[in-house]
Amino acid sequence: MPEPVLTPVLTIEHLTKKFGDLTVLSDLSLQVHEGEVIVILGASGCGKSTLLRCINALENIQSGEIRLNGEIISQDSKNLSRIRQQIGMVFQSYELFPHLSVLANILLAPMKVQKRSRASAEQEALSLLSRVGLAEKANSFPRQLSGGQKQRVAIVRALCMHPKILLFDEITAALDPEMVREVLDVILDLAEQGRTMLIVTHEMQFAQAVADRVIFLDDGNIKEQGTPEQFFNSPKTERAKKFLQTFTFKRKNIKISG
Amino acid sequence: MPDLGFEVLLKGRNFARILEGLGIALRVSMISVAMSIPFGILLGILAAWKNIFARAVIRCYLEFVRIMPQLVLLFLVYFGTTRAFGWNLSGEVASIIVFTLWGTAEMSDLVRGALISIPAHQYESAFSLGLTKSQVYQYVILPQTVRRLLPLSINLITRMIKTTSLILMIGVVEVLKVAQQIIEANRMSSPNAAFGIYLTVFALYFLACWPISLFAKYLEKRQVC
Amino acid sequence: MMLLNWEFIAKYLPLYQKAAYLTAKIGFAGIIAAVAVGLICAFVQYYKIPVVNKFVSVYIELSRNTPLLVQLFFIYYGLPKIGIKTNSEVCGVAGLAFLGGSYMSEAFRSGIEAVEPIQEESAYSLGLNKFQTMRYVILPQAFAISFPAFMANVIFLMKETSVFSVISLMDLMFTAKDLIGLYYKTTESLLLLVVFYMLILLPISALGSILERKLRRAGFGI
Repeated sequence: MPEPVLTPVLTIEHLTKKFGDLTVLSDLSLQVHEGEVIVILGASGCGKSTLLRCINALENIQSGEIRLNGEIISQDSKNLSRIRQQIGMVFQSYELFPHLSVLANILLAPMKVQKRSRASAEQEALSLLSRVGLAEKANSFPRQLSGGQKQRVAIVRALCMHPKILLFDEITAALDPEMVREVLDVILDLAEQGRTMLIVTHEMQFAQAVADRVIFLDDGNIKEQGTPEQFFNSPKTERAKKFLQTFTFKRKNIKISG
Repeated sequence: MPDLGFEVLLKGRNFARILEGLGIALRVSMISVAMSIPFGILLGILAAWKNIFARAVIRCYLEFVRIMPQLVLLFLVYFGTTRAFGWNLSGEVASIIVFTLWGTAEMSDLVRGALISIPAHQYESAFSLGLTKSQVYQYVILPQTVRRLLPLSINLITRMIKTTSLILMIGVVEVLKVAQQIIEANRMSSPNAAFGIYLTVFALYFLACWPISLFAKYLEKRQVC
Repeated sequence: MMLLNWEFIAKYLPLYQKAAYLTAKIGFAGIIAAVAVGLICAFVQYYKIPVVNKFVSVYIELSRNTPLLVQLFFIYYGLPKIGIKTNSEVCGVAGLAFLGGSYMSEAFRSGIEAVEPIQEESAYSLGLNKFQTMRYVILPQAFAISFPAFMANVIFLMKETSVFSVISLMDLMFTAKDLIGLYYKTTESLLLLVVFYMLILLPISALGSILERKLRRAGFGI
């Protein structure tokens, strides 16, 4: 069976990121293909979030190269704003703008950055809002929404810019358990639509369901990668096994010796 | 190059006189602050009283002192008491009364703010540990209040020093008045002395206030950590 | 209870009105100038513009650690000796701008700094540039956060105008002192003084509280 030709959207080559003396990412390379959903796993502090932040040029990098459709992403890029428009990022803490209504939050960048007309942007915003079940919240303010609702608005805000790739940085970590579902359903829906996404998460079952490829980061580099079946059922490295064990609970056999 | 006042400054006792003038302003400040702090703390605690009448009186006092320029208060006490009670207060005594009234209001505000800024769960978690009310205040609330209050009350000192420059306006011979006298006395020989003399007064006030401000800032920073 | 001499009050009311108008006029002009100085200084400090940054820090320390009265004496009587001449009104506005600029700057700067850095990042990640991020995301939030401090500064500066008589402005204090000296109508003069300061300051204070409540209700995350 011939392999389908995959076009890389995002290419990372030999990326090294340091905070002072601390190396967070070292010599990391990764290709993300059109329509691919990649879930990035790893213990906290392994550099998952930093990787996403580097891709959006929120961090400066010490060496290596990140390209989006061939165009270099770095804090020195002249077209930083144009490149960032093509990358949608959603943060753990939503980061809606508290002084703007839901609709104004979504419309700010399309109108001010992409100079689109209010009418067309608004039409799109409303249809996206109804798609995530928030049509009636268009004129609410962020403080009137629950965490799950805020996060769905943040996703819509990113989508409205027509990004080539979406970055999700632990977007359910701050949510109450009963709200996690509504947000993850939205992402599953996006995966169905064939969006290219990089997802950092701690929801293992969700990762298994949504990912085309799982990447396991450890010590600032990719320790292991593969399909979710491979990774979750038969992890190759010791580190990955140990990591996966932290998500299973077993009562130790406590023998009380008298 | 005509003298810009710096030679005049070095003539005779001129510089010493300026320092003495500043000393008077500083003395008034220090006495007022020393009285304002305890009175302010007392008033800040009294303001939390349940008695409606007492609270209304305190409230009126605080609002009036807060909204009126300090100079107006100074006029009221200095000129007003002569008229109303036939007292003949010296400028210095009137100043100390006014600045203590003002400082007390400011200080009570700071105390109230510091008490309010302590989150309710600090009380709750202390009570839930089984501490009695007085223990809660002694071990949990007051230490935190004092830490918050310290830099703010030190800032009150610099504000007081700056405010006491107003005593010139009711005829107290302080640093600006001495400066005026020196400039006047040397009007013929050094017509441009005003520049250097007033610059010196400016610098002296700065030297009096700046270290205190720095100290308050240092305390504030240390507290955040 | 002393009886007030209403005739005297009626006679000198227009004098106080004129003085109050002058106080308010120079006060507002000075406050606007102070806001301008404050905004510039806040931006210089926020963006850490080299060299200028240092000058701004020195200015802020000088301004905050000296009394307005001394600043005015230096500007009005000192500076002309080296050729910088001003009239009373300009001097009053300049003095308030010098004093108030640092207070306004601190208020604005702490407002800007109180906006979480990640808000800035999320604006950048949407493709907004530095200017747009400042204009649409940070400033509106910063303004709401710094509004109480801003209002306190407005009232503080308005009160500070009371020393303007030393630079020969015929303001409320000047008028009151003049009448006390001339006619010994101390009670009436002082009463008018207090009333007119209330007329200037109470509306500002009330307006401030209303706006503050509105801003809080609009819920700017605070």
